[in-house]
Amino acid sequence: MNKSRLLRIKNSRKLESAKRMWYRFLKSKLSILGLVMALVSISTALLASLITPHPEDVTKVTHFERKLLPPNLEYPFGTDDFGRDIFSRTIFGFQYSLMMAGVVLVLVVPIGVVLGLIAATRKGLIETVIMRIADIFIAVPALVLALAICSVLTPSVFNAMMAVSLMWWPWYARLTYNVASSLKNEYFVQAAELIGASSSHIMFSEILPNCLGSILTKVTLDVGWVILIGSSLSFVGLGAQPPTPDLGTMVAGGGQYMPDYWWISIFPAIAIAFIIMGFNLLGDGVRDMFTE
Amino acid sequence: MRPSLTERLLEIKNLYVGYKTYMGTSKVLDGVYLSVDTGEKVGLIGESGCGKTTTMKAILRILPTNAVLQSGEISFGGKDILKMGKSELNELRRKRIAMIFQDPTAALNPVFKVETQLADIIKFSSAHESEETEEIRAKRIRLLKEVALPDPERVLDSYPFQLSGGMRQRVCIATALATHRQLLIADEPTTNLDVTIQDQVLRLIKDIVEKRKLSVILISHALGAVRGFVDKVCTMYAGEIVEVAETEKLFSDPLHPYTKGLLESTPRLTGGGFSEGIMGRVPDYINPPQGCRFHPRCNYSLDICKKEKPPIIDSEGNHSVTCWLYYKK
Amino acid sequence: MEEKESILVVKNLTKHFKTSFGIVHAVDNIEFDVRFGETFGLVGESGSGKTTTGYVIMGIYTPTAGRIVFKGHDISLHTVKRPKSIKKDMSMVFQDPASSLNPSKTIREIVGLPLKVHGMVNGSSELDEKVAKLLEVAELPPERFMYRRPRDLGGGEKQAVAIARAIATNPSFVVLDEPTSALDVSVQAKVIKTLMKLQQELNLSYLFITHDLSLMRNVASRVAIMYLGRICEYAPAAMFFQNPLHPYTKMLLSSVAVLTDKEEALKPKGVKSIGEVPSAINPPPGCRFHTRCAFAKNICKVKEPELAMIESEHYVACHLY
Repeated sequence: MNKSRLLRIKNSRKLESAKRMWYRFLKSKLSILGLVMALVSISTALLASLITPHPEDVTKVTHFERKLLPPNLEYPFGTDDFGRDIFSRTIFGFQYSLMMAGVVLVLVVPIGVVLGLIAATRKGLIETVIMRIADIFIAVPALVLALAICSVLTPSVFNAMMAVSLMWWPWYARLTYNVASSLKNEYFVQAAELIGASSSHIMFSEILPNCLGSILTKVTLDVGWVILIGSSLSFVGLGAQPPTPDLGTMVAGGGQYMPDYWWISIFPAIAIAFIIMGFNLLGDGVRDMFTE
Repeated sequence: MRPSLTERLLEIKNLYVGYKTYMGTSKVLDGVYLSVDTGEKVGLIGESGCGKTTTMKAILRILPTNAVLQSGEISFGGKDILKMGKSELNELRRKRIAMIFQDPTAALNPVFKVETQLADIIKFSSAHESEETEEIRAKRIRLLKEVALPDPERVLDSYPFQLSGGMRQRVCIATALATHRQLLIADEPTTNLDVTIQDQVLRLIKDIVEKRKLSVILISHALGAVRGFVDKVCTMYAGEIVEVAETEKLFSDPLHPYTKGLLESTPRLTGGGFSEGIMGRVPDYINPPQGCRFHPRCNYSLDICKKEKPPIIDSEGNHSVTCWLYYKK
Repeated sequence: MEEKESILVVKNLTKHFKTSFGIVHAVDNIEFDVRFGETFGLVGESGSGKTTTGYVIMGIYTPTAGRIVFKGHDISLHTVKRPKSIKKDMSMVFQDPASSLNPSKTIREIVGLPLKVHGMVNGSSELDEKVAKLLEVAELPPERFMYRRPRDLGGGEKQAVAIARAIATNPSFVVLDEPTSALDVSVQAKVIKTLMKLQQELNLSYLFITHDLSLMRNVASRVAIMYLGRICEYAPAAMFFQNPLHPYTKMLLSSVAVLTDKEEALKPKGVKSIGEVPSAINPPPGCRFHTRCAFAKNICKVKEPELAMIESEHYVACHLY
């Protein structure tokens, strides 16, 4: 049997698979828009230090001589009450928000998914314990729970991220549990059992790949949600503290200057909306990609 | 020679239907010819993917949105269905043509009791759209008795999930016959049922058809299902009708290689084994084979089969076959 | 039953399921054996318990009562508790080809799984070789199919993959649960031919479960018919079809759709299918078939008939005999 020929066939099949998924994604124009917006957000976050015109304004500086200036050529988003360039701070705000989303999801997804898989495959006491704990967290409204946790800890970005992570994992556990439970009764899982495959093989190699579509869709949509919750926490002062250029904090800081010096709150708010919208639209596209 | 007294009820001529997909157009129906006379019972045999359901959906104009009716004619009682307006179509679907589907569970609405669903059908297909409730109730019970359902009162009061598969299919048959129709299209009506129930339901359909003098198109993927019921059988392959003959003639003297292959593959109750099936698989409709669509799988293919589509050849009276093997200059 | 010629013996096998509606008597006290190298057919309609029997034999369900003896070993356990050597020796082909193959995997991974689990290959290129050989044996050109996924395959091809997977570990016994019911007749013919060829070449014993009597006539050497969890009759194939004794067997045979007059002549006359299968939660007392039986006597409503041998190797459970 020709080894290199097999390899070529294998690679061309993978390419075919990828192309097919891509075609499905492209079916909706809005998904493409979402992809563009998400990519813009991510690039802004990654290249923040390179593209900000006034990087020093991100830290604890004050330029009272140029405070409260409306949007103009040098300061496209205007300046705030400390004279800092809002445009630069907004760009860094992208970095903070996406970083928070990234950290939370990287923590939450593996833990939630694994717990969900275990609950689905090992019925009985373990299943009950995991899912009931998850139910408790899910039952309480997200923001309320986050606020509750944050208010007993010292306000900081780190604590905000921990609070959000703590209340977020159950959603992944529940999602994975639902998908895995329905898959568990499929013949191919029975077949693997009959063959003698170990239960960890069945969980991770048979069931999990079929859950990926739902999980990835949720991850994409969750980027927006996490950022929203995080910004809300900062808005009420429980997350990032000034002078950190967190978008939520910036919106809060400009509140007292509304409506005369509207640019202080509005531009960060638009940035939040932009990121969330982009990832939501992208999420629809990701879901389409995985739907045959 | 067909006696001029029997009228042509349904005639499909040269029907081409495709489906739009991201990889191109899937050219499913490739020139379908099918006819049903008044009072005639026609069997349509074809395996999965041959286009029989597409054809039936085209008759009732219930094709999905990505379907493209490329050309052809479907006339019912003299009028072209493809050119009908909305109200004419509705009349066609409510009062002229009835359809029974393969999966009775999917055909019934799970959240409504049987009595509601039957009442809706009766109301929509009757001449007087607002009949009295008493009349409707009596009519419903009559219908259920007609389909040999024991205890019709209980069935009326049940949800579909509370009934067995056989009972659900009988309810579907009752809804199909709620009003006088001319043509019954039964798409694999017994395939999902147990063997003993299949027999019962088929006998029921036969009785009703005889009693009401209906014309029928009975679709199946298994040859045995149509025997003893239909007058003539059409075999369908890859979007084309490849052979039409009277039932016994088709079974005893099949002409088209595909029909032969099907018959040879069918296990017999008398034992004796069966063939190895038909080699190859159903063609890719996006890039179908040139010439005769069956030639890649045919043991008897000639050179011309690969190049040109065979014409319909009438052989010995009421037996036609679409195959170059029977072409005489 | 001569235990030495039998690869599988099932004794007093019972399986009940507890549900919120009551206890489902899926299989009740059945007994049969499968001999080395034969195809034993198990026929019945929905609710008969034939699929449950197959599942209990394979260990997907634990028996409520009774014993399953495979090659002399008692294996009346759930599959996770069975020794690996037993799992290597028995395999199953499922009814629905679409859901018996993991849609996210390639054919190579699917067929290769049993080889990996039982340590039959060392490294990726040995896996390639062995999988390719198995695909060839199942009549699937390896180059075309190795890296495909199930969604690209037709029903018959999927079943061929399932068969390749089932024989990967060189088993001696395969349970085939309606392996061709979801397939068209021309595809079914191909799959059955492959199965018969494999049985010859690899000396396999089959438990063939189906509701299709015409198919059964052509594949099985002995046939047992089940109704509502009990075996009504079993006999060598020719005897079963030419001289059916149990009223249910006659009813089932009379309902089969056939193609020729010769076959029609074989069907029992004077019997018509009536009624429907009662619920397995409260099976009828006495003989379970009495509610639909044209020949039911008073004793049938009260006492369950036992399997008795009427002629050589032909057993019936009916008060008429």
